[in-house]
Amino acid sequence: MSGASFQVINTFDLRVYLVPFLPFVASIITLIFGKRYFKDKAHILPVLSLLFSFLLSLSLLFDVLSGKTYQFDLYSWIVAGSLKVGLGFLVDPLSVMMICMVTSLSFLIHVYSIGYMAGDPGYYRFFSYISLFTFSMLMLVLSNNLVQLFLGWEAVGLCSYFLIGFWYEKKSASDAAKKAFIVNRVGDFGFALGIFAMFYYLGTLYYHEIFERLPLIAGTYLNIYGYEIHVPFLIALLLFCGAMGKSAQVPLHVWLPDAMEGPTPVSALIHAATMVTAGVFMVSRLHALFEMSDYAMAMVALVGAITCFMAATIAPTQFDIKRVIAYSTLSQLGYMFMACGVGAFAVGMFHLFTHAYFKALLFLGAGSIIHALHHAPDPNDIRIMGGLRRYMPITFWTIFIASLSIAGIPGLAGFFSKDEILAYAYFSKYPWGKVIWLIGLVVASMTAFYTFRIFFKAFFGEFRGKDVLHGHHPHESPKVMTIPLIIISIGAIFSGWLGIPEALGGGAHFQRFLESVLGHPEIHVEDHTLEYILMALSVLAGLLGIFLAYLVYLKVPTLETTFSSRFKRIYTFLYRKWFFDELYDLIFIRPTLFIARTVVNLILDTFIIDQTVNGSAKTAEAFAGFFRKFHAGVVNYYNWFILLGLLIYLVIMYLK
Amino acid sequence: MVPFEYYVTLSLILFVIGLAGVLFRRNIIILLASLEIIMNALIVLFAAISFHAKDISGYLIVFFLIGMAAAEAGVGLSLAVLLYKKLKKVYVDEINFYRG
Amino acid sequence: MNWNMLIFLYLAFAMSFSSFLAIISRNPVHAVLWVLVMILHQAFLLYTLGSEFLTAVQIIVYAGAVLVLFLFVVYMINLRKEERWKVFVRRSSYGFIIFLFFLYFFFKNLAFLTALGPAFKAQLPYDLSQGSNLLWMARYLYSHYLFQFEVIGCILLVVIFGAVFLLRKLKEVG
Repeated sequence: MSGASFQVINTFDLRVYLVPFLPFVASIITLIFGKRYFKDKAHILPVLSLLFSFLLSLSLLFDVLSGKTYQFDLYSWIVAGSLKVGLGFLVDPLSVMMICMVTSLSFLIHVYSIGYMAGDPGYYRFFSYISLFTFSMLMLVLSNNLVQLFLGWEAVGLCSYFLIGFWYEKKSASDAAKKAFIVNRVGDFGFALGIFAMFYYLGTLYYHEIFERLPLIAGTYLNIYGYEIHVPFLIALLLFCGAMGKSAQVPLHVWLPDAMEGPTPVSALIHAATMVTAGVFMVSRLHALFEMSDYAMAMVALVGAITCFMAATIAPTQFDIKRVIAYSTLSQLGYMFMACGVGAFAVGMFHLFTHAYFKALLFLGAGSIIHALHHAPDPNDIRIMGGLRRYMPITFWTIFIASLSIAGIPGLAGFFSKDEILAYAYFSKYPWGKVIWLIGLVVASMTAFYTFRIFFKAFFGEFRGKDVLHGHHPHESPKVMTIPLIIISIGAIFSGWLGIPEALGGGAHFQRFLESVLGHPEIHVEDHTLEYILMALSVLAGLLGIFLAYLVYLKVPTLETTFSSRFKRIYTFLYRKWFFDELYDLIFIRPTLFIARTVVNLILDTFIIDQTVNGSAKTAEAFAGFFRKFHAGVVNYYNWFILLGLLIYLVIMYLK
Repeated sequence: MVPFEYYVTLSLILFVIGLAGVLFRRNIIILLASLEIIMNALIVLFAAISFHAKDISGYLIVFFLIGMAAAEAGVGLSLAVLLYKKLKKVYVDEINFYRG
Repeated sequence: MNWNMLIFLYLAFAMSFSSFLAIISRNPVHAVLWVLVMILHQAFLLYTLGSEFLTAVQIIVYAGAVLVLFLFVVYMINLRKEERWKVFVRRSSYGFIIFLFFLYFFFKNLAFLTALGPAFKAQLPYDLSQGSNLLWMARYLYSHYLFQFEVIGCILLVVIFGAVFLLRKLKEVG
């Protein structure tokens, strides 16, 4: 398959069109008629539409495998001067892989939600929103130009707002929704500027034209106040701002942990399949642009590495099970950006793909636990769990698989992709590759540690939540929830087998498949010995993490508090999430509130606006007092005035 | 053959008379009748143009105008009847809800 | 001074005078009848302008339908006892001044219109040797003006609905 030329089909294909629009139609119908007519049957349409869209994605996958790609415009959406933007679709290996992943996971999450959301008053609303969410992501992935990507990008943000704030009666939920929306807005601003810059310098927004014209700006520099700025770097930086917002990278990561206020299936959808992967997808899609500037690549790698490390340090200190998993998502996204930053885009996408499965599995498993404990005042708290292995065996096994997978135990999905990233980082042509490798290795160990922390705390030892459950016993979730768990756990095991690296005798089919789009990273591998050593090191790191977790949380439980009490300061620093929220509060929120309350409210409002408003009202009153004499309510008089207007017009015509 | 100017003059006279009716009459029904007179001024003009320029459009526009006049009379009169039934008034200067 | 001219002058005078009487007559029944006179004269004017079909339409639609509708409404409303009231609105003199000024400039500006007539270039020409006026009208009506024809039909349909809707049981209206 490597280097195989694709046959590009430029005509309309109904399947491509239906993949995103089936969920859209289902969503709209459910939203409009759901409350009155569907009630507790509201899931039928979205689930069916997702199933069909998944099947269509599979058929497209086979098309692409047999060497066909699609690229066509549905219609011209915006035409102004030389700007032409169509609503179009591009189906190539990259996007077809994404749509298969998104539709399959989204379908399973839909099915899972039937059980999880049962009885919720907003049942129809939930299904409508997650269908819309899926639609937005599919539009984002399938687009053939940047504006449509941006449309999907914004729509995904909007849907995340709806869904994070799904239980809007809760103050924390609506605050988290607003936070997610506003933080994303910051990134999207940069993204929009990036699109403008792209159009300014290249004159087009279609991918295929962008790639053709990119060499033209390779030597362009922009002079800003005496600094020469490389234009590709500038565009990449601006676009990456958007990716930082959407994929929750430092410093715009603060929304993601708070997004846990939404229902658990939503978290699974956001973290695994849809929203956060958009940034990685965008960077991979425009990899040619990023590769033009070493600074851009360094930036991507650096941001990824910082996020990766930071999240991995915060995660072990949190007690909310979903928050821990959220930080692990941050960390894994950091991995993906690290892979992109060393030029191994295909590997980054591979990790995205495998991560989607085991992360969805972790979240849905956590959701299953939460569902079992929903009588507790705070069912997310891992301190009330423990010994759940006996009560919920299926959840236990699926989470076990997911944890092993994320910890990088050989044979499971996470191992192959994470290992590939580390190997490519080590052998990368970029000078920062070795550093990235080291960070990745450390974080791999930490990942294993915190994942198994929740695993051990939740499933082993004694059940600690008896007194908060008020006599209720935890129970296994219904079949409609456990069956998707089992299916996804199969994905969490086998999705990695698609890309077994050559060193282990595999064919790296996944990377080969994407090579035609993402290119092949230049690496210098002399022999496989070093690769085996690296692999062994990362496996050892994972095992070390698991062992530590075992030691701390099962064998010697006193160790748990020893650390936090001895290194109080560091612990607090980590527990408060590196003080990012406090920092933003100090830098942005307080000054804004200060300006709003004193400057705007006291000075502007009282003196300028009030006076202007009252003055204009008084002026209007005086004028009206004069003109109301003419307003007698008689039709004939109005006719006279019309005639008078016409007369004035005629006089002007005559005088001319 | 009557010169075109004569028709234009007739049309203008009719228009002005109709306009005067619309401007000064109080009775809503005569107001509507005056609108019909204005319509007829247009009919004369279009028919004359068509006759003199040997172009069929004018006649067809006359045809459409007659249709429009019928529609307008229908709506206008039903409104007048409605007004009368509700207010027992047909004099437009007595119906001044919108007096400022 | 040939017969055509004489007939035209008679028709023009009759139309102007009857419409003038229509707008000044006190009794609405008389006013409507004067409009009827005007319309019958106009029908004959259309005949002299070469279109017998339009003459028929004018008589059937205008005289036969619209004016009868007017008469119906006048009888329905039954205004005879209010005949002694004023004919024109109050303060008509102000309006009249505007009207006079308007007339002056109107005729000043529209003097050019009289010169336009023969200058028109026929877009849809007809030739009476190839068929009657009615035939030509039909030919263009069902081809070139088909859409407008349909639109007029729709408008009339809407008017029927509108009239029925407006005059349904008034209790419901309030």
